Amino acid sequence: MRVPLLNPRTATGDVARFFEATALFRGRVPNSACTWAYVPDIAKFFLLAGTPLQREGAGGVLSCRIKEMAVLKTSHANSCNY
Amino acid sequence: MLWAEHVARNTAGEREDVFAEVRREFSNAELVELTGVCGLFAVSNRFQDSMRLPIEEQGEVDKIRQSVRADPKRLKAYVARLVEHWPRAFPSPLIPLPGGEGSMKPPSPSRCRASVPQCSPLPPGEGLGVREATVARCPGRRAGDEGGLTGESRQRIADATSTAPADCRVPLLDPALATGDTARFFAAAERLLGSVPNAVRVWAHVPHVGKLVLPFFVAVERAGCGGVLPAALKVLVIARISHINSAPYTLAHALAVGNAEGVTGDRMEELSAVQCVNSPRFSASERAALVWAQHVAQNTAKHHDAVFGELKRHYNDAEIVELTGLCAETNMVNRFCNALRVPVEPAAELSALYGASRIEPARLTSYLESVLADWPRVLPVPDATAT
Repeated sequence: MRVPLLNPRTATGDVARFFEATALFRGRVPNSACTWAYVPDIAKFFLLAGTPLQREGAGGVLSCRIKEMAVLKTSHANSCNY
Repeated sequence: MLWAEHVARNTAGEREDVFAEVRREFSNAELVELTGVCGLFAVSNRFQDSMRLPIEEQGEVDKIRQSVRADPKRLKAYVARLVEHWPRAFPSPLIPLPGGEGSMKPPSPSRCRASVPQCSPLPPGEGLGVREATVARCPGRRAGDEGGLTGESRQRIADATSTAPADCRVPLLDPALATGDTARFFAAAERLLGSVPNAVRVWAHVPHVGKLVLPFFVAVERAGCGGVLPAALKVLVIARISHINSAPYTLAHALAVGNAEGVTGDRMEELSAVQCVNSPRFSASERAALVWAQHVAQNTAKHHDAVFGELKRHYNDAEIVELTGLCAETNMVNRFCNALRVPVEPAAELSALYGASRIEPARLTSYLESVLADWPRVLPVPDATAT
């Protein structure tokens, strides 16, 4: 890790609010959120942007299946294990 | 999947055969969304790899399956929460030192928001800490530049535009003719940005996606929205990455923002060359950021400890996270606009968009409030018969 992962259990202020919102919205707090949380005012918008693109049901017109295939292909092309 | 591969590799713009194939299978709206998905993972992959994020335990990863479909009610509640918990003041970026264009104050213990140890409590109500100081305008701005593009900036934008393809791959939707959700998206975007750029006219094919994606672009690229990096540095990074990715649309926008921030002339010119990272026109901290930007763009940052070490000498953890996020986001926008061949706006429109590089936080709140107020009763669903 390049920077320490922020801990949702000990965060306060804007960072804590971001973690709470993430947990409520996604049901979990992934490591990527624990990193984006260093800039919570931007992180909250990244979460918002990612949802309609990654998930079905948020107003997009593509199925989950197509999205997940695109995600896998892109991640393979970028050699991204995460 | 062929399209995804080419968007990821930033070659989609050149491949008519690949575009023809994807065009046969997907409508304009589906194509815009698909390109957005691929672009999003250009962000995620680069951010995660550059930060060397560890993969969660299997139990945590399994939870992803449970959240494959978004719950629109939860999404709306999330937006409402953003509005409800809007901070009273945003953190401020570094204040440039007077008298030296490009010089930046190195982090010092008294002002640096040091990386937050996992267990340390933070000042109540402040998150990472809030400074009330406003950002001073970069001292390079010339008299008479206020309110419009300089001749030099116009020329650079014209040069960038001349390399841009003329044919957008999906129609640019017209705000004057739009109705329903598309019209509402255009109205909100115009209030936020001051006008409607061509990229927004493309995203408008999927207005419910566009409206939620736009605040992220604004927050990460512009000053005033809660970031901790100065606007001038963001301009340099966006311009450099746009050169690396041969992205005329984003480059033209970076030049216009640079004009608003007083970052013009030789410094912007140098960014077109790989050797810019050695140029004395940039401070040591700017050079470190530009090297990092190059590696994030090329997705090689994860391999270069020395590069990260140099970055760490100049920036704290929050600044590094934002810088990496900005680099990753720029790669998304580059790929999206290249793949769909979004045309650059005329100089006058760019000038209207970037009269000031800073977005007032109230505009962003107002944008979110309008998104909430206009939340549709029913969101569109994908075509269940599509394979």
